[in-house]
Amino acid sequence: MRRLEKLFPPGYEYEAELRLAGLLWGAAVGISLVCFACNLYYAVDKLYRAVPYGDTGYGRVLQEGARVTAFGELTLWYWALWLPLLLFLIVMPLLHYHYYYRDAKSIYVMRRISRRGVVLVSCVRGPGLGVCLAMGTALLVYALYFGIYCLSVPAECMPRFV
Amino acid sequence: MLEIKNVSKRYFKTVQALQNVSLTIGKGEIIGLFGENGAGKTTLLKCILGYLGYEGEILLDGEEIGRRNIARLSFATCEHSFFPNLTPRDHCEFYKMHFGAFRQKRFEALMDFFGLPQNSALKSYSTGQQNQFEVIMALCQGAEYILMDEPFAGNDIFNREDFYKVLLGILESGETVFLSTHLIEEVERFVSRAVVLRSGRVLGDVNVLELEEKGASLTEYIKDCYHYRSDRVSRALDKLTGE
Repeated sequence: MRRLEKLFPPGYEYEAELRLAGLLWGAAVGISLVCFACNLYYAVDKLYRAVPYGDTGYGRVLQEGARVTAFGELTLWYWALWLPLLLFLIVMPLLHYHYYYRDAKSIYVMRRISRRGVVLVSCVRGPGLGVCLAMGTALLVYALYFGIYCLSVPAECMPRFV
Repeated sequence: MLEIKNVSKRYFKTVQALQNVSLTIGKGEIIGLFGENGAGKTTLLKCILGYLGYEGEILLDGEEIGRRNIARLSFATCEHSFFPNLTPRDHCEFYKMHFGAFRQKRFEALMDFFGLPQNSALKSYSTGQQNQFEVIMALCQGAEYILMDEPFAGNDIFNREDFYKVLLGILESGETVFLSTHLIEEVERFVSRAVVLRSGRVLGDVNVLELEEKGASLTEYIKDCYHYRSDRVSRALDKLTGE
């Protein structure tokens, strides 16, 4: 936990912020997973048509010339799920700066430090790392979904431009 | 030497907080800054530290106060400038990291003398203890010019007396104190020079020793500067009671 303290202004109570950021991150990943799974299922399902099979059942056959929805179109909504987390991470530096004026005016000490940018760094270091982690995760998850998309769709049904 | 040359400060284009204030503060002086509420004392201290913009010039040994020399100034304020969630030990580590001249020995000695708990967060301290800690950090930063803005507001008389004695005992010849306070009678024995402000102007600037040689007290001098009428209270009471 000592290492996390260095990402925030001295004495800042960051636990609540971390919890909320974690919640927003979890929501983005969780909701994207559910939405992607549903969208992919329906998109792949549309490629098949039901045919009678034997006396009792039905089977599925690939429709001739069927093409699956492009991956980009299937995941149009994806980046919007990360917006709440990103907006929160953008607001965090403002909360951190306000902290120096809250309760006691610790800004007076910070402004006597010779090293350049100490206040700025203390305000943005944590949220900056958060943005990098969020974007990294978002890209990783997007790549994962693309991999699943490619594995789930028959090669002959892939659109010309994915 | 700290040179304040024709410093003026206006708030919101209407309130003239300082008007052409000029002062020179030599090394090793202990100066009391006096004046009524709203005289401009806090504004002057904050302008010196660069916390407020101003017109005019403030130089420290010929150089403008900026990143290169700001650590030569420290500040103790009644608003408090510590981190409430940190303990004194945490503050000590913070100051050691950011102020190369931090005086650890002095810090340990003063904390011990005033019996302040080192492992409790500052927010759990009483107001008096917080004031003491605020002044301790200003004294231990390693600064040459120690600015204090009513640092003893809320401290009892015994506390204050102890502090004046300790201050006089520990200050080195190269350390300068510029102290804004209303406690004139108390600091009279402690300061070597008094500067009086009124409505943003310097009304008086006197050597306390010279005053004493003339048989005058600092309180009388300040009242004189303010043209204080000693009968104003009785006149007001007469008006109120209709006598």
